[in-house]
Amino acid sequence: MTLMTTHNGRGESGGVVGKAIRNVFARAEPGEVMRIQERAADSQPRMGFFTDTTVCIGCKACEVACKQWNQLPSDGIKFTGNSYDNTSHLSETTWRHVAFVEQMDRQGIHGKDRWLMMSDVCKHCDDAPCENACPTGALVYNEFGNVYVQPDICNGCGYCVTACPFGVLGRSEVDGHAHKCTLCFDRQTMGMEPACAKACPTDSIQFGPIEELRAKARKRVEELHARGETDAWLYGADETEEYSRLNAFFLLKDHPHAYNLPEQPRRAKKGMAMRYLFSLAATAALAAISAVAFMEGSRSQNA
Amino acid sequence: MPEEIVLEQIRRTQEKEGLRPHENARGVVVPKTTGQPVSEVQALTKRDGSGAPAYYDVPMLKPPVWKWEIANYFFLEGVSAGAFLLARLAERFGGGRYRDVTRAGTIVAAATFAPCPALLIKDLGDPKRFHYMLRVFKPGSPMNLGAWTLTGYGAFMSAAAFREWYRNAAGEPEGRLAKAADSTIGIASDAIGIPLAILLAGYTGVLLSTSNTPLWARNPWIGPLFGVSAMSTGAAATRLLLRSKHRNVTEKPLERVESVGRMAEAATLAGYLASAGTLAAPLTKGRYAAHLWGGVVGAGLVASTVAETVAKRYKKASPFLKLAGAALTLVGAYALKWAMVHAGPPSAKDPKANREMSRASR
Repeated sequence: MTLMTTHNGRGESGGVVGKAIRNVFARAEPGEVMRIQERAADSQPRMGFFTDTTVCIGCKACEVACKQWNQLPSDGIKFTGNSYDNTSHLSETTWRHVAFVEQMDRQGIHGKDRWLMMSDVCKHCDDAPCENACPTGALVYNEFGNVYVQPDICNGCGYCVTACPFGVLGRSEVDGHAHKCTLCFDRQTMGMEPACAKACPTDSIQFGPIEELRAKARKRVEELHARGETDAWLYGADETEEYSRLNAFFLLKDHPHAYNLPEQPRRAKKGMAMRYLFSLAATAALAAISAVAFMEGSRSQNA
Repeated sequence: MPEEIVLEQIRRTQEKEGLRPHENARGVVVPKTTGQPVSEVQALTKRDGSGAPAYYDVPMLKPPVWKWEIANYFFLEGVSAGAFLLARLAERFGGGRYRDVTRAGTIVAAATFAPCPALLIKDLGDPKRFHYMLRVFKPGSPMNLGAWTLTGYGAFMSAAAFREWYRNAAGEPEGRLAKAADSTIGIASDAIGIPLAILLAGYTGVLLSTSNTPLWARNPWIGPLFGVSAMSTGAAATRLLLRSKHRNVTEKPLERVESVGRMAEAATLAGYLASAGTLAAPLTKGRYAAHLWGGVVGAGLVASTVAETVAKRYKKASPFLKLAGAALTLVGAYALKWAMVHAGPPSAKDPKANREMSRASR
């Protein structure tokens, strides 16, 4: 028996038990949630995405499937002039976005010019700054280890929007709440893979237990290196000095900035305690000065 | 095969024109000859001015959604916290001499606090869910801690305000019950209200800096800057209220808080600008440069100092100049809060700032 809750097509959670657990663990670390869930139910490994951009053909089936399954509205028809990328970025209404990079001024590995195509998505960070920032506890780590915005709790404060180093979350102008990729939470609870992974014709988007995906990805990189494609590398598979691992990680072939990804994502919360101390000290110092001034004033009066 | 022949011809032409690129260790390719005219096709890969990789100058980050409601809230809650602190400290340390400071400070604190909840609620994307802010206690989120602090401060400040009003209307409390209630409220509003007010004064700066917006991200100076600004605006507003009743005897401590506060503001502002560097461009050079240099520095720091200094020498003009000095302090602080909040979106929308902030070397 698993502590599952019911979900409708919009990824909203029903069920008192699931809600209660999420409420209580609004502050829990991802590992904590998983350990407690494991004790209580069948062991559920952490699930994630591995996006192998070397086999992406830029068909945008993932964008379409995501919009279709999650009933997301259209973003309007606009031609950006940026190659085939007319979506530009992830947002509250776009949870999969395909980036196109044409590199025609390069003598490639095999002497060919090349295109880089990547299906971008919420990174579902192990230690997510958006979850840290959320004041209502709407953002939680669900039982699959993914970062999930509970749409019935978010009150649209917009703090998560500023916290994300990848610019994933946006606040909807229609309902005022923040939205992002749910990693098809509703599909996962029914034992299905996310819509984008299902639709991807080349299996560029792979879904499964994250440890298996990391192993697969490392093997793939070795394979590419053996072939002479030494510019292949994994973005987000390993912890960096500053940032946790990503549960949606990528195989890239160029610098992250070429894909509009941050070279070094940063945790907003780092150094927060020091900043609080600094702020309290400055205010308290002025308050102390005022107390002294009041004391001196009263003393001179009494003298 | 014919295609291979064509490709070989292209390669030879490019080698001849010296356009053969070299690779760095990561496999990132930079053309060896930059600045030479390149054909349309070869220029397709978007790079920024320095030749480093870029993505069509599409921003990496999302802009903050906060506007005038939050700018006004930052200013008002700062004045409220500062005025409350001064009112309480005047009573505790003033030996009975600063009753009018306490009264005026409490009035200012209550009056400036009153619009704050409405401003915060209005700013939300879904205002009817405003009470969800207190659904959990999550001190790791500055916004949640701020919501709890604001609520607690509101309660204790209101109790202090009620006590002040009661004393004003009915005089010193008589009878054991009234005296006990009076001293309890007094002690509580100091023991709990003062720490809450100290936290409230600067937490908004910590909130801004615990984000990824380049203008604010992880900058340790915004919290102290807002904190000292709260103290000096609290003093300035209290002085203005006192002066409007023609009292000029008991404002010396307030003047001192304001003048020390101005120096502290200058120092923390300088620290912020030094720490943010080029990331502060929307404030220093962009649309809000006038707010920063004219409002914050010009009016709030320079002009108000001049007014106060001149007031000391020319006794005749002194009352007007002192009023002007206090008013200028308030103008400067308002410009600061307004500019800090509104310069956030241009900062997040600037692809160069985004990339600079995300470099590993920073």
